[in-house]
Amino acid sequence: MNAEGARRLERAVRRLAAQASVSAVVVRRGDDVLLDHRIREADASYHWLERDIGRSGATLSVQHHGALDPGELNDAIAWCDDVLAASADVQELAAARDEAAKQEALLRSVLMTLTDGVLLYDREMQLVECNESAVRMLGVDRGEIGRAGDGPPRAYRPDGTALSREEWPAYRAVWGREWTNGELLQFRRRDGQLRWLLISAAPVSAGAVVSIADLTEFHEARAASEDHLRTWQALVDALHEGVVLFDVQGRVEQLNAAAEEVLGVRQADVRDGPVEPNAPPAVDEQLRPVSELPFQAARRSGRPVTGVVLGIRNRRGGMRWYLNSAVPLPDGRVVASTMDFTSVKSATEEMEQRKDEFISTLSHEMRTPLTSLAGALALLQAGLGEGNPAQTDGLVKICTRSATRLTRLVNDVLDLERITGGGISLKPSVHRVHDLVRHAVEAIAPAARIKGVAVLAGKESDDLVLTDPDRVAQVLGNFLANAVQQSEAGNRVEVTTTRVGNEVRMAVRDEGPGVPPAFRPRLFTRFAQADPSGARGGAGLGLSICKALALALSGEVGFESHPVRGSVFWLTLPAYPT
Amino acid sequence: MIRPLTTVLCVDDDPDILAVVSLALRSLGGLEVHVASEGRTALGVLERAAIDMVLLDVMMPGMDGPETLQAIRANPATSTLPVVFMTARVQLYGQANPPAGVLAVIAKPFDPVSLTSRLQRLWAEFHASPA
Repeated sequence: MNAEGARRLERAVRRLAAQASVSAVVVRRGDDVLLDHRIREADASYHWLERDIGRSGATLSVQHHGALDPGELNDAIAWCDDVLAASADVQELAAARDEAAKQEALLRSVLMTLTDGVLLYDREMQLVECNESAVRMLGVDRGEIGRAGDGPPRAYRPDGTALSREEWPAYRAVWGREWTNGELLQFRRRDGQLRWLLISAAPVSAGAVVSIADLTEFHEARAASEDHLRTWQALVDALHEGVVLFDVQGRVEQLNAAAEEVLGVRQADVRDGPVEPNAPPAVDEQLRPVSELPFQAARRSGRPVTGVVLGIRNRRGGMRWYLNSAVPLPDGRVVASTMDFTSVKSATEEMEQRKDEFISTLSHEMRTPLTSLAGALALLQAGLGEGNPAQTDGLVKICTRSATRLTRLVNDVLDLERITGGGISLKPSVHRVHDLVRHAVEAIAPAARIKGVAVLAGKESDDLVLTDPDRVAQVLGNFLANAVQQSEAGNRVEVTTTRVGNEVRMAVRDEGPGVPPAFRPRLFTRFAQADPSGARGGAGLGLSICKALALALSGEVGFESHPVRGSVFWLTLPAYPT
Repeated sequence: MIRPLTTVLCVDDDPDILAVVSLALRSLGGLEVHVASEGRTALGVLERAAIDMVLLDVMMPGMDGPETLQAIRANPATSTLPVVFMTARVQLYGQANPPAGVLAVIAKPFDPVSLTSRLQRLWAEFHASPA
């Protein structure tokens, strides 16, 4: 349409509108459809409004009110491309406009109260309207409404890849007339926050409507619970105890790694649903076959079952022992746990056996001096010593010796128990090692002299130790007493002191027959005696006491033995810095 | 009529027990008592003296009780000699069922005053039903 045409059209419309009876005219001019109408204001003046309300091809419904003067209309038609309608009833039009405004207000209030975000874009991808929820979710500036925004916030798919501008659902709706139904996307808001949003978009005549649900909290809660679940799974998997969830039919629904072997089911086996357990037959502590397993008992009775001991022969033929418990759940499923305590059981049994042996040996050790003590007393009571002082004296000496032996045995047992049980209190002080050695040598000297054995303290040294002197004297005294006992008249026993690194070593060397090879490994164990009769005196507790003492003194004991050269028993203690 | 027990060999490595037993058997029981402190010495005594019965300690250094018993049985001169064990290891050697070749087991401690009559009883039983 040229300039002249436009002017003619305008004139025609103005002329139409000038008529008092015509209040609205709808015309088409080229691609544009125009609605002109005038509204009578409260002061009875007229106010003209012109609005571009759409494009050709879009559905436009304007009612035709009243009749126009055919001559005038024809005149107008002659000047414009098309006059679609003209209305004379301005009141009705105003009412319609009010109604529309009311509807719009209602719609707006609904929109504003929605927790879902709603945005309306026009066909130019301009944000026309959005509610508060959308503002909150997207961090959109309200000022953007009505002007072209600088595109959507940065959006990402759940796998972390970024969306291009054209992939943003509002664009696809406006430009591609494409529907989006519930797409989960992650948005970085302008304030930097990441939000998980569920987006729907619909193309509408005016552009596009986009609705947004913020799933961030839900998503984070789910992620946290999944994380929580994974943590628990890892914890349960790390358990030494096997844990199994049985379904209502008694099939394995879930299990941890520790339960795999005993159940004969792998974790991978239950990935696609519950499977039957494939456990080897179990026996009880008396090795009798078990017909009902703890989880079955818990399921049948509806009560927890705890502390059931079961033995299962493993594939290598060894018997493994398990401590089992099962707890029924309210839904009929059962959680069961099983702990392999084979090593604990055998250790306990070994300890029991060792205790039995100790008691048995101890009672034997006590019976020997008791036999001579009680025997000599019985003979004295029977009057055997009457009129025979020498015989009486002999019997009394037997009593005294036996009582001493018994006392020493009881003391040794108590001492050993106290030391190994951590019940001794040490009184450490700083000493020259040589002084400790000299005192020990002096203490054994009278007994050695009687036997004709020479006991010597070796070369002097200035090394110091921080230790309990009485306990060191006890260890050295024991070594020396053994050495003298093993010696014959004319033999020598020597105690040497040497510094080895941060340790001081005191060694007692004798010229006796040495320790029999078979006996060496158990030399420092309780009641160990090369000579099983106890003929040499002690009950075999001395060296085990020495070992326990050395440990308490942060030291060590040991020995070297040679059948010709004799034995060396040594004690090392941490050196005290000089 | 069987003659009573008169000569006993007592073997024990504990000198006090040996002293108590020999004193009881000799002074209270009127028996002839030989003593030995270990198995090998005991075998030597058996070769030299006529012994009616051997009282043998089980745990001894060197040749112990069971080894000594074996040697006694191996010698034709002493193969049927009655042997009585003395032991503090009552759990190992039950008194009710003495080990093969042993007439009886006497548990330590025992009463030395009644020991002679106990041995006389065993001597009589041995002759009533020689094992």
